[in-house]
Amino acid sequence: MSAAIRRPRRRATPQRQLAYAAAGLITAFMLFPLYLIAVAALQPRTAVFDYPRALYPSPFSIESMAFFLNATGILPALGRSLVIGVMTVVLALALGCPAGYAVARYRFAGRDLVQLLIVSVRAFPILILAIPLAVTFINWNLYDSVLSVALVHTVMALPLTILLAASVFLRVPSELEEAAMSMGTSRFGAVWRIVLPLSRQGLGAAALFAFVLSWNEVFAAAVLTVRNPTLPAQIVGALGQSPLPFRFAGGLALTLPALVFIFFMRPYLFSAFGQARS
Amino acid sequence: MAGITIESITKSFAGVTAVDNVSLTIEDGEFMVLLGPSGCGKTTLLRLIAGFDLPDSGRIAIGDRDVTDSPPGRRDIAMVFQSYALFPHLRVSDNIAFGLRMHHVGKDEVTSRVREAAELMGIEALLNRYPTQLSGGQRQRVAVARALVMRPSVILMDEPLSNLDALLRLQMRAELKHLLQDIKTTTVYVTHDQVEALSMGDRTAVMRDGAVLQCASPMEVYDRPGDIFVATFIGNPPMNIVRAVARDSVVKVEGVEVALPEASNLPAGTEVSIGIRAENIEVHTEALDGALPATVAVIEPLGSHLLLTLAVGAESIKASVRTDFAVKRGDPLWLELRQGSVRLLGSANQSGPSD
Repeated sequence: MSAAIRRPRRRATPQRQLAYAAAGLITAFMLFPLYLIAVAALQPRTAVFDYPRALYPSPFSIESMAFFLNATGILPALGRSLVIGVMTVVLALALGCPAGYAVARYRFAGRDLVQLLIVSVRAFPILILAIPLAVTFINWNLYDSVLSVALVHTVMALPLTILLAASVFLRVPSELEEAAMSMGTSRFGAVWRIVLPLSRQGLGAAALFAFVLSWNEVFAAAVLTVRNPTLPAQIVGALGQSPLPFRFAGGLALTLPALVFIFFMRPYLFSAFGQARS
Repeated sequence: MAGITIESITKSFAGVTAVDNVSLTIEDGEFMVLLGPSGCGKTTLLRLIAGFDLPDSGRIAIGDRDVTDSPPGRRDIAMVFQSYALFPHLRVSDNIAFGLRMHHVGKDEVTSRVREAAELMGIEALLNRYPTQLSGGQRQRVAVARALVMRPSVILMDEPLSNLDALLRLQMRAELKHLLQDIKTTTVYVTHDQVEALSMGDRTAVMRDGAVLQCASPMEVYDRPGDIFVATFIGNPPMNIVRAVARDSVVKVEGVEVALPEASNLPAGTEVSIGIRAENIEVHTEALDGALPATVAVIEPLGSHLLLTLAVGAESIKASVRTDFAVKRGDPLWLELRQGSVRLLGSANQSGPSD
């Protein structure tokens, strides 16, 4: 909805240059290992053992990637991971938006306690949650299903989703809702027509976090699945017995979709970190 | 079109009483101004009428319909917010059309009514813009158009001019008054600006601490304030308040007897406060029978007139004189309080304005 974010041009003062240098260093620190994984994954399988390491894939080869993707169970696992990620996003937003709205707009008894409890979900190690959940899901006939993993990922994503949604809704002046209500809509209508459209960016960021969380989560996914693992669970399960090129290819396959997703959601990401919207 | 009846409305927030047992009747087509300092409850009263807040007790009716518990959308009201509250993601035309669409008005009628409201406010050229592309004055016009297009029974305005610069405010003030007189819709207008209150309203309700102190025509409120607070809140400069001692229909100010316009029933010797407007004081350069002897303390040229601050015994009195009045600091002058313009404002220990 908003026009491109315009930043005033500033002169490159020494402080700014220093800040850029620091940002560059941190970025390189994070990205270099990923880059090395990508290089290793895109080389012929034998080149993985070369020393010194190549800094670019030479010769370029999709042999490792093809081998990885053709391995038994990888493609279905990738599909399941995508489905679970999307389900997690949908469920987390469907539950997190109303909760976030309540925290943002209503003064109700026990509001502070609720906020504390929301965050405290993350205080439980997933280990403690996963075992009883596995038993419960077996009883419910949900074990080893896409839905069970998506439900657990939703629980893990909800605290951040709720807090992000609440902070995003707080940025919409309540006068806008009141104006809409005075013109004949219900509160729900005002939220639907005014608050949600104005919160797209922030909710997009919340969706991003939920997806990446689900995409990367391995422990709950490994405990709750046997024959139908997610991609990380599949890779972790196969890691011990697989050759090195397979591992690098797996690493790249895990990283790329998340990177692509983040790339497309990046304006939303910035808004979640409080960068001003125009 | 409908009047508003407010009966014994009380509303508190977290133990603080914002509106305290207020009753007010607003006639059909009347322009009622709620005036008071910040925190006096005027905006809360407006929000209670709008239905954004619900009263703890009391009753509100619009026309002959009890709306005490109705949601804002079922009260047949339209509100103009101080911040304008335009929807930033909708074009001006969609902002204006929003309420009509919520009421399932037909497409053709929406188009024609939006155009009509836009023409009334002179914003036809802006219909395709987004609110962020408008100036403050243009946003204000859109907000008013968005209210008018609903053809509501009641228009509520919460300090609609306070975000405009001084010149634009002056212009919009006259334009709004003209517009609202033409369409004859009952209007409740909240402001802390006494000039707006005096110039726009049919009646002004002066509020303080959640209560309506006085509700009367602007000239009545200005000329015959109900108490010291109203006297000093309205008018620039505020009304002079002077301590005096009562005796029949006469009060003694600093030893000089001053006639009251109407007989008071006060026992002789009661300490009272009297009020008199600066423009109702005749200033003489020579001693005069029944005039208060004074000394010039401050001279402020205000363009149209001079405002003098004068020491009368222990009292300080402001009086306005023509700009060609030759006077300098320390000059002795004699003040004649114009017949019939002295107001008795209760006993002297009554409190003045709180801020």
